[in-house]
Amino acid sequence: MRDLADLMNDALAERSGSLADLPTAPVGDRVRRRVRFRRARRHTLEAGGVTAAVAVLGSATWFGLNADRGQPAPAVSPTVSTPTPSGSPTPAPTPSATATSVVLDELPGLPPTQAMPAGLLEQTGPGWVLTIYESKPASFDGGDPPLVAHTVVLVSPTGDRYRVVDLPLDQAVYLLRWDAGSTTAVVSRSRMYDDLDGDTRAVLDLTTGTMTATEVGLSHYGGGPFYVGRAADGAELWTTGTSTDSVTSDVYRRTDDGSVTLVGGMGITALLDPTGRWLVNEVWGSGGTTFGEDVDRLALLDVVHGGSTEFDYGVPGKSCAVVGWIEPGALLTVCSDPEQDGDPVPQMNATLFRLDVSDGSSHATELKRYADDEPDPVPWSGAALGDGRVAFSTGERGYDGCMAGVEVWDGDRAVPLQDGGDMAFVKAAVGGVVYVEAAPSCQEALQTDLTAHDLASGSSTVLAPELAPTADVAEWAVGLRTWAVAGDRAPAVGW
Amino acid sequence: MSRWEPVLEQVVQERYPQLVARAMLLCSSRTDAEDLVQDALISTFSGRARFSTVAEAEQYVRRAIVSRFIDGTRRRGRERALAEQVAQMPLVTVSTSGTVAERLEAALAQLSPRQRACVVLRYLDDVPVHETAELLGLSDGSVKRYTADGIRALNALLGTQATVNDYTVRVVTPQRSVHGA
Repeated sequence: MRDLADLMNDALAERSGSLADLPTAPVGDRVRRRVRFRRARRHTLEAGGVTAAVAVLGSATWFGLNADRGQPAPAVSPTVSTPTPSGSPTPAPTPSATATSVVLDELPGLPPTQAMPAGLLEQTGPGWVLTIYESKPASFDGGDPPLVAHTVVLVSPTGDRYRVVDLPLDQAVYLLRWDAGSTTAVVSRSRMYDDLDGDTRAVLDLTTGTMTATEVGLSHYGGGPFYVGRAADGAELWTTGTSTDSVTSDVYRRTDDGSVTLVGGMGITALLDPTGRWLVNEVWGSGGTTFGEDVDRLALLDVVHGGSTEFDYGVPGKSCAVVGWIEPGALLTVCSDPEQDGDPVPQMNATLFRLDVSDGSSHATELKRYADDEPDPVPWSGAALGDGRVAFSTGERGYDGCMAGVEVWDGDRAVPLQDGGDMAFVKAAVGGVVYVEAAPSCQEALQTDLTAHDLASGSSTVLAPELAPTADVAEWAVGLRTWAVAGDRAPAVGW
Repeated sequence: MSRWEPVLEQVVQERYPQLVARAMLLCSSRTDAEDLVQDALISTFSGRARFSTVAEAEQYVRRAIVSRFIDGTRRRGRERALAEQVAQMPLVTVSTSGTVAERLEAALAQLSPRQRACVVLRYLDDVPVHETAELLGLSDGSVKRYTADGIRALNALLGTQATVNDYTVRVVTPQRSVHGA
């Protein structure tokens, strides 16, 4: 009697041989385009990695939104200064580049920092940002260089950086939330570069570096569970995939006592409204655009009381997606001509809409039409400022299009905020400040930096710069890994 | 060119027919199999995993093929219907006149999607039970059951014998045993 394994292997070899003439070039082109698009999209939705050419210190003034809302505002780049490269393995005091003349240490794998004074965490307030540098040299030979630094760095609203604590080198740690004045942060952690195990929730003691596991108790199915944000009543929102690629997920509430309750389902992307009551998400399977897949309706999930209501985008014949929340009950959406061949771009006749949603009905009002050669809003990239303004990323058109920058919808028009080069994305808008993470390329996970744009004062401050090359490291693959703004309700939700 | 692109290019150039052949074990239509492989490639290279070799990437793609196959049936709400349909159908004798590949594909087509997925992962790729369960969103026990049922049916249809977990599955009397999804 023949062995089944032998038969299966023979059958595979036979079938492979019969398919040997399959053309691979068009397959490679198509797959590469789609992967580029997805990778660019993914970078808009999660904290990216890191390549450095320069480090940016200090503040620059930006005379954008608050200067004159009636006039077009130019995109402004912060002042850039070149730091002194340092290959020294030991702390080397250098003069501060800031106006306060504080002596900064240049340590391998970190931007210029200073030791954190005792009690500083407890004194932090709005606008302070916690960051983690997970610094790794680039590899050009296929090897996997070890981490040089894995350190929590606290940044003041004016860009002063303080070393808080070192973290284990064998664990990936992502900041989920941190409140001003607190000496702990909620993080997710996993074994470094192993996504199969999923992330686990933990509380990080910022004074000791100790991480205490506080499992959410949800399945790791689909790589989750993933943190969504904090609901209006303080409960944490988590999702776990109901498909292995998390195209569909269940949303759960985790309260302070650790109990977890199912609140509803959601599609691949979602944004929490500024009040923490409503989670807008896309509905799978109704024909549409976001990834060139079947999505063309949205749903509002009440994450406090439960219950979900579906809406359409109110623009018949167009493919639409959410950009962000304007205010509770009103969304910024972008609609364009539907694709003809199933590919997700180039989104002709892209138009920005205000979509009012209430009582099971929706109404779209046209706000702005984008020229076909003009970067248009990136779906699901918006961060609400809470006063009707929305900061969002813009993207170039075409299969190989990257991010183009960041704009703010101020109620009347879209105003450029930052020219992002190849990639720039908004991750938070807290207290009138828009936080933008940017990288020089969207085609690879390169170093990013973090800039805070204060819309009231018009100033821009680089909070977390890219790492500068040193005598020992010509290029960094990863530097800034993750960050959390004090009191931010909801980081962007990615797939 | 980004660092992932040469690996993707090499996987497509060198392994595409083999990957499509593998996908045809799950969905016997070549067109569907090609769609499945391309979806798996996109999913694999869009993710956070990093690959330094073609073999490493191919292993991910192989698993993505199976998980996306299951996801596809799950999304379309077809899985339960297919499982119920399969459970009610008597096994149809596989013609001995076709090629080995045709015979195997015809036999696999008579299994439920989950049985097919479990057989491919567990029996062909030797993926551990728990890992298979995580990949497909099933319990460990379900994976063992689907694998055993699938292999039992294949043995009945193809006149083969198989060894799973150090014991030999030998089928004397063809009989349908399909658990609902």
